[in-house]
Amino acid sequence: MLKEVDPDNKAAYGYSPKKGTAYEKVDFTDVEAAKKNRKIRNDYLDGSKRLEHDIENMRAKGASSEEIGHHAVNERNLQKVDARKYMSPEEIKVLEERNLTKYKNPVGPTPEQAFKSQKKKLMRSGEYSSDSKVWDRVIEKSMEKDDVINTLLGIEHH
Amino acid sequence: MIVLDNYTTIDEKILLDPKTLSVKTVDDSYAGEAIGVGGFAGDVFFGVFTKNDLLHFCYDGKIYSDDSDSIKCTNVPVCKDNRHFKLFFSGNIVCDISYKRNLSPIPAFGDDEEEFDFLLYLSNLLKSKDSIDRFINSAA
Repeated sequence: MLKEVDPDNKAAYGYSPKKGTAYEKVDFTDVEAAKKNRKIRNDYLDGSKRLEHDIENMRAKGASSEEIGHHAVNERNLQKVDARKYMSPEEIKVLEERNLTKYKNPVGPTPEQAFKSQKKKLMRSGEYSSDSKVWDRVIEKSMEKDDVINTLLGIEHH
Repeated sequence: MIVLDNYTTIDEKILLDPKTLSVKTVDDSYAGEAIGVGGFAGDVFFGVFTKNDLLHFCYDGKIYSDDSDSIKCTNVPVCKDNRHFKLFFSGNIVCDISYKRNLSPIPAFGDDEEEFDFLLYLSNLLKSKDSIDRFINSAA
């Protein structure tokens, strides 16, 4: 069992987040909310599979990390917009405000902003080696796995 | 002026006046080179930069300076709504603040809490002597 979750008979899918973890604020005993999040998560994971396929194809055709990074960030932003059809106006407002403050865009970063953000982080941590590696990091970030939220939403890990 | 990257808003820099310690934000195209990073928790400004092989931390109208051997930083969630950030220089506490977490109301995309939380990013940047040394050397 993952260290971030506890078994919980009242939770929609049998687990609740432990105190101090990123999902602590979410009530996973709210069955309707959990079902909605499960639907969004499944769409997101389907999008991840399509994106993974796109990345493999683009690599096979000789696309650069920058070209793939642009595609990955833009696709993720399209998925975020699509997912908002399941959300309440209040939830959308919170998400948009966070993104407007950080990126001056209600959806998320542009590819250039994602690149800039990662490059500066890598430089400050002494890990920067090349712009191509920064784009690779942007691609990795867009494909990050999260088994904790999968478990909380009753989705099998892949 | 001390120029910092603005972590809170990606396309901006922060200008920190070393005499008055007042801050203002400018467009990222501002010509000066950033020697550190700053950000906001609510309206409160925090900044770190490196100069003369020391780390300098600006908060609450003061600048504190120390080397990597003497800095300790922690940031822990204290409840579902708040985190607690503490920073020690040479055993003395220079910042001790609780602040509101900035979590996504929709967990289905997964949430990178650090993306929207400067103090969480800062605590990871200052988590060890090694990471502080790498930050100091990055500006050298």
